[in-house]
Amino acid sequence: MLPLLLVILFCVLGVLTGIATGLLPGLHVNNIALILLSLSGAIIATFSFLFEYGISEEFILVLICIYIISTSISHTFHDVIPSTFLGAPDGDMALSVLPAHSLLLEGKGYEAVALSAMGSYGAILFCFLLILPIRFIIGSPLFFYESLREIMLFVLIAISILMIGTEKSKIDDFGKKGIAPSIVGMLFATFVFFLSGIFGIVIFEVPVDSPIGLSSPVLFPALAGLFGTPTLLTSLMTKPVIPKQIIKPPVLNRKTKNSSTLSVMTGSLGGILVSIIPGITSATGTILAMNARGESSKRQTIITLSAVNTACAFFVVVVMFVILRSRSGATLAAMELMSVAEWTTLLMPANLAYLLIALLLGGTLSYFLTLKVGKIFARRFANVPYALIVKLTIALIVILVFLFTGIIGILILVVATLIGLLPVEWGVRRSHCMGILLIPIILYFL
Amino acid sequence: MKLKYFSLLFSIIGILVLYFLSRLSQTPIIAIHEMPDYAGKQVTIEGVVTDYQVTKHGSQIITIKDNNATATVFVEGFTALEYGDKIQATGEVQKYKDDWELVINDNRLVKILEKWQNISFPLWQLAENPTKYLELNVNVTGYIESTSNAYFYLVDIEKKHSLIVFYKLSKNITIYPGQKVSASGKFTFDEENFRYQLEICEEKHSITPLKQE
Repeated sequence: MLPLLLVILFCVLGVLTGIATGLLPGLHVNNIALILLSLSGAIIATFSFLFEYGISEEFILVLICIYIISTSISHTFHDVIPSTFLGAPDGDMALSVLPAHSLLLEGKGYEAVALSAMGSYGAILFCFLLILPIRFIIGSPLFFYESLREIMLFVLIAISILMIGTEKSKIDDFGKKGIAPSIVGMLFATFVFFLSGIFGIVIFEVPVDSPIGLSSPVLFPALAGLFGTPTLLTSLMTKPVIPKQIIKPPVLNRKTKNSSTLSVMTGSLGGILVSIIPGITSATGTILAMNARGESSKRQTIITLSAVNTACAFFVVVVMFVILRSRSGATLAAMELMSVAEWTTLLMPANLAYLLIALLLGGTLSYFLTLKVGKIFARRFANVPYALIVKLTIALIVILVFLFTGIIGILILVVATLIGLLPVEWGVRRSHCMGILLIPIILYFL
Repeated sequence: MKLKYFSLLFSIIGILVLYFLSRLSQTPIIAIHEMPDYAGKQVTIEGVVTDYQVTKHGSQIITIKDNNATATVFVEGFTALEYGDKIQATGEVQKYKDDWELVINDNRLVKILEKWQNISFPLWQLAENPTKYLELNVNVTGYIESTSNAYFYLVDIEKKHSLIVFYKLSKNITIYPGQKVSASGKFTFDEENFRYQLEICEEKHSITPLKQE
């Protein structure tokens, strides 16, 4: 009985942590996992009193994994709240407005959060149904992953071309006539992709050292800089006029229900693909899913996007037990902490079963909590000292980067931020910055 | 300057700065005989351990050899090594008495690239260049011929080379002529009989039967 109670306790703690990290703008769930991993020693020490109740150290490690996994799943639910309510562009300045921001500017911020929670929870349920089928497809007897590995180089190149080729932004700095702006837009996307790639190759050769002896993940300042700080900085420069929010759940009729189910399904499949293929993140998964899904409204886009994010966080855990590879910060941490036995029979390994409890329970709790917190935000966010939160978050990122990777880490953060500002300032998609992982991985497979 | 051009310019400059930083911190990997050219500089050398000892101050003196040159590596600290291990060492080239040696102040800069047990090679490779492996732990593969209680001969498949192997094993291993084995032991020169030999005499040495092809 005690072990089960502990599983639930750590799962709930993880969900609560996920709310906190999800609500901080600009912190990626992978960074959170890496931070938690380096604190695991301290966590074990804190809970060592459990030894007296017959709980082994291995089980405490499993509990920490449960904590990390529920944090990551809860994070994918809650991060929609800051990305909806914070950082909306000024009406006339925006090059492209995210769907959630456009609903916010119509006074329907809560609806955006509710749609996202729906997409995320739908993905959890859909992924749960797919565990066994996917297990048989990527593992024995079909070994899809083995076949995929042989053509991985071409898959990755194809994904890169697709990402750049579907860039629809136009840059009219160098000619406004005809198709010139579209071509320049695509060329600029290619430029950002390769620039990030060169950056990725360079930083893996740069020695980083933590001044307080923590493990030094060189990717932490790089990813925080590429994807976190640029949005925070630009949001400090904008002063959007946000109308009073109407709190109304999304309207679901037969047509939108069918459409939403389709969005959840394509989104989940996109997320599953992300959890299998190295070097791509949910941003890439979203592009894949949106292309597969075809044209859709901004509401459906929100659902698809959230489904990709959550499905990815869900399936990296399952995939870890089938192909024994980690595809996210959370599973990287889990693999270092506990023994991951390959899932070869029909019956799943015990550790996977524990983590599934965390995923399902954490997902369900997160669904209701997201709606609750989203409602509070919609009502009160006019009073939220927004600029202060953004500044504190930037300060937090800088401090963490310094503690983990020292002064050279700060330099990497600055350069990454400058690169990350390029897509924001020139109006192309941020996901081109994933060249930082894709290009080194493509070179590895060459 | 507009932010969009500012970030464009400075992101490129930033990458260049990081690139030079990584160049500065990278030490070149050199061959042992090139060491005199790098006096006072940080370098990385690689080689096979031919000798090692611990001084009374707790430092370790390792002799390593690549093709035909040997170098002394002085480490403040201790790394668990065995004869025949292939290692990589990063440190400063200094002159000590009349020799060049590599001085390392952190034992983490000595990396074992491959344990000698894992470096296995066929008999002919040993026969072609015996001096390269003299006094080292080696892991040789071949076929057993004419066994006796204390020794057997290891031959290659065409029976072109033959090496006497002395074994004093407490473990009960059955060996029979024609069997393919990998024998790990110390490769020495028997001056009395004027021949090379393989001695299987220490705990870590062994005879492992291999699957017949």
